[in-house]
Amino acid sequence: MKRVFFSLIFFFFLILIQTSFFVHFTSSFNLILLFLIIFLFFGKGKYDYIIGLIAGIYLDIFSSFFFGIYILVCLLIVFLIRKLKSILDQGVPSYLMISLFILVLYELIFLFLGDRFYIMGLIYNFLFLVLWLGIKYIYDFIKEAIT
Amino acid sequence: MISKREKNKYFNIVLIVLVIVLLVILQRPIRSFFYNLGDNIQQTLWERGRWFGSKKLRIENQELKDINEELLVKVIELNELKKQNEDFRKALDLELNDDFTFIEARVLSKVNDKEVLIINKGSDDGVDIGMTVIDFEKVLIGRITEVFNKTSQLILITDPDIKFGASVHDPGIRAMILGSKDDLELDLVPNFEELNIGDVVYTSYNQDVFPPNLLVGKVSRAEKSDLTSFYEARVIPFFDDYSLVHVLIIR
Repeated sequence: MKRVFFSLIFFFFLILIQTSFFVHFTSSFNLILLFLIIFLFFGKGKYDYIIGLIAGIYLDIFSSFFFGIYILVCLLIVFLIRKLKSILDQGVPSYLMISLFILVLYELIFLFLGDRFYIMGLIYNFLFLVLWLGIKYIYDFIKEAIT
Repeated sequence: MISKREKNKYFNIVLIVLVIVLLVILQRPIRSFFYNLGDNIQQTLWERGRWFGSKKLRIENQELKDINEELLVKVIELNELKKQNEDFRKALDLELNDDFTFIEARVLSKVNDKEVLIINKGSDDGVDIGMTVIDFEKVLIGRITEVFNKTSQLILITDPDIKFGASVHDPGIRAMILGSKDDLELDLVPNFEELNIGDVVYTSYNQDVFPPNLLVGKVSRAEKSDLTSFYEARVIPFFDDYSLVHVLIIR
């Protein structure tokens, strides 16, 4: 339950930063989506759907689409990541493949709904995940070497 | 027989569907609540982001570096220009105050997927759907589309859903402006008219979307088309949505 409360506060601050600060650099950088993916990769899996729901609610609040669209998209992402995680190996290469698939799917959904496809957004978001997974990989490697 | 695990699964699905339905029904108070909750943090973040990230500011900064030496020589001349500019702004302000009454508001954030800003004035302050939003120099910014108690959503003229009548060479050529995300499309200017790059575009009298004579932007492209009898023209708006902090809502 701690994870849910943490996500409730953490995602709120993320959406404020995304819509008021990062929007000046690029409007297609989606911190909520990125951290939802990271949470799903490294979380224990018990409250994944609730965390997806929270992420979707915040995205819907700060959106001009019909309320509920982002909730459904985030729940779909949770479902797909859980399925893909159970099929593929647990490791950085698989996570990168899943990330790319999810990010492309996300952009395609909004190409269909809002007639927009942010190729630069896709690249920035994917690079962020590559960086995050790279750091995590190095950290795990060093931790294992020490122990 | 349905197992306990399956029962739990179905229960969770039903619960999530109910929560979504409830959220959809209560979306207005929920949105209003969260906009109010983040109000102060967003104001600060918007100003910091504007300072760090504005393309316009970065370009200006680069230009200033390039002409630094020239500026030292021209400093007296610039001071004179600055004074003239201030006088001009004062004159404009007076004209503005005579024409309309306003509600002053601050920009809080920009929504994820559209050219929509959230501002810190709502129905409690007298804001209503459809009101026109301008800046202090009488430049058209957009229109109010959603109103909450203490906040509102404002759609920018650059949004693809926006279109309105405009005129170039006041009161000459009549045309149609269409939002196009980064700039504006100037449509329905007949080929036989004379349209030049740099021409100023205003809101026209023959439309009921915005008040007339508000500044819109400058023509950045004007090409005669062989295929149609109208120009292919683009307009760069005078405002930069990312450097906006204060706006005026016309009552």
